[in-house]
Amino acid sequence: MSLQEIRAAMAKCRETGQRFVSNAEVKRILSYYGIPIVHEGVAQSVNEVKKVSESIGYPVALKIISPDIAHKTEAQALKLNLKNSGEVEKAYSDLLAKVQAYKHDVKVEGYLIQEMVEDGVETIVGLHNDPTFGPVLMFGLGGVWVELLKDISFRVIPIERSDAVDMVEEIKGSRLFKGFRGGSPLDTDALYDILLSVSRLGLELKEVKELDLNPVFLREKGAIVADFRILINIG
Amino acid sequence: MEEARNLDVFFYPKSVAIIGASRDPKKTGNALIQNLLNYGFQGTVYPVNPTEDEILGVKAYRSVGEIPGKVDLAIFTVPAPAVVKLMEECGHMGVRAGVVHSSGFAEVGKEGAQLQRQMVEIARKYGIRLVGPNCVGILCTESRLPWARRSTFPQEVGNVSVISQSGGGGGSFVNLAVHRGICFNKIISIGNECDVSVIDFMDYFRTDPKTDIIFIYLEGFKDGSRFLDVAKGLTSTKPVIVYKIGRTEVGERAAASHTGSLAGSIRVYDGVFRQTGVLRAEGIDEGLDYLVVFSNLLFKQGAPKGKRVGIVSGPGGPGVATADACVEAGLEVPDFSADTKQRLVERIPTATRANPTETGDFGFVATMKERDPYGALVSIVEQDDSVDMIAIVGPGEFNPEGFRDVVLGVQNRCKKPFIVIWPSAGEGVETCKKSLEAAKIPLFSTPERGAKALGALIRYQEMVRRLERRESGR
Repeated sequence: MSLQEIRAAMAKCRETGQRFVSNAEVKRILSYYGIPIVHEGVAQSVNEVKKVSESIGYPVALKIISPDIAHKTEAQALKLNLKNSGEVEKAYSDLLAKVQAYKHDVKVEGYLIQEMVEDGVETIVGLHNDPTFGPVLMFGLGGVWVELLKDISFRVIPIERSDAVDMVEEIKGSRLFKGFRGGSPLDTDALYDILLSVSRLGLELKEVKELDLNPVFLREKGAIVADFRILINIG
Repeated sequence: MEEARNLDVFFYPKSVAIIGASRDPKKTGNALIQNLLNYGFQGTVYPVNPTEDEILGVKAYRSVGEIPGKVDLAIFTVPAPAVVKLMEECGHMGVRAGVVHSSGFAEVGKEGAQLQRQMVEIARKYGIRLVGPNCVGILCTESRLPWARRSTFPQEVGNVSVISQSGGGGGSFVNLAVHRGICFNKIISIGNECDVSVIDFMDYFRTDPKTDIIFIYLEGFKDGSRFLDVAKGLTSTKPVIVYKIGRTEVGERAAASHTGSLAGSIRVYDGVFRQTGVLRAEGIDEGLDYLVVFSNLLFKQGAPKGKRVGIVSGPGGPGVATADACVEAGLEVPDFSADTKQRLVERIPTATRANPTETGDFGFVATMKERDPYGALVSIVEQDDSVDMIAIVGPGEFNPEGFRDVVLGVQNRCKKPFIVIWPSAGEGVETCKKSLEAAKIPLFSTPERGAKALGALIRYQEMVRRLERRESGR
């Protein structure tokens, strides 16, 4: 995918008044910027879900794809650590009931099956348009804790590698990355790469209003994005 | 740079016209002339009033057009619509700059905003630069140009300059700082920023030889990307300390992303400040403390070479408290060398050998003047290579005059930067604290405030080194 194609896809979103860039589109964008994503596949039926799970390999995470759901945890639109096809089948029907309870006419576009990443520390990388400073990059402790702990740092883009280092070292939780309880230090270099890539993305794609990569699993070797979202300016 | 230097006229005008000069002592146009006379403004003052011949003993003119000489700076105190009308005449007369005190412009709504636009349009046509409207003006301790609507003025000429988006807040901050011994150079109440902005003055101060430290009382920047450009070239040579009030409204938008909901303005500002090397003071107290440390340690005593503090205390507890506060503020409190320890007890047998060292015997407090235990310990500690700066912790209420004199003696002799922490009160103590502040001793009332301010100085130095490394790495 080229930058032109990405821009064309975004222009199409804008024309149709679609605030969130589709899952498949975001994946292509992230891959263009060299940002690693967990192995995943999309399915529509329970049989397809089982088939994709097999090919990714257990354990897997199952998530509902819906334009009506911004925060999957709140809507209980995800099931983690499914170890076999029986668990996947049960999760499939449970999830549908949960999201329908969240919003009765919820639009389900499909099911996302992801490789289960358990090791490492959950972080968040984001992009936001600040009214004063323009596009700013955010880094912080991620996952479900992000809004509770608010352990985050910001920089105006573009950033340099030394800014990325500062952003990571600035947060209180950065000690978690240096290896704790006898663990090895985590691969912060891979994290800096992601921050620099998102900085470049923000600079080149002015259409992006907000971007969340959450969680980004920071591991002993590498850092990998497990969930993502891009909002565009449609005004 | 040419552009920035043109702002000189706001601080060193050879002549000012007061448009709206008045005989009524309740009016700004009267107080301003009184202030110009009291403060000793060095240029010519032209009061302008359509009916008066003389105001406070100064010859008045019916209009700007009647003024015989050239007018550098026009100060407007007339109502908003009149400012717009009179701006044209100022343009014809070759006025170079205007400070508009008057309110009733953009801050009051649509019609005011329209007046403001008209005013700026006329000023631009004639090349007049404007500060304000809706401000309390500009003060310069060198040219003795005073602000309005305040009755006290910083007297001594110094190296700290202030840009304030709050007329009242900025002025009160300056007065508080004067009582801490801070000396100012230029102070701007920026008002609505219709023309010259906070960032323009930051840029001006970059090349102003009289300004070493910049303090900004900030609501928010109008042009974020220009702030980044200007600040990056400024902070490594001149510390910029910001006291930020207010928050941008970002809450109305439904939080569709985590990043969006977390990006409160103060957090983004903090990121930008770290990126550019600006220090944010979390409160007025911290702002004052930072100025005390920066103006004294960085520009008078000489910057500390590192972050190791030697503590010399009278009482035991406050000495330990100071050590705690220093460590919490990111400083180090190293052990003294064997030689220093030996000399300490040789000189004062009751002194403790550790850092903090304490005089140890109340008898020394009573005979402070004669035996000078503080001075003796400081002179030993300052020679220790493991110490970059000294914190002197004062005694209780007994014999404050003795301690005062001892500190003044240290000021004359001590070759390493030092601060004084005097966690005590009472009439005698207060009087002595005042004379120490007047003598430009960096004085703090609690260990925590003193240590935090030293910590900020060290943070600043580290930031400068980082920015320089980055520049040279390019």
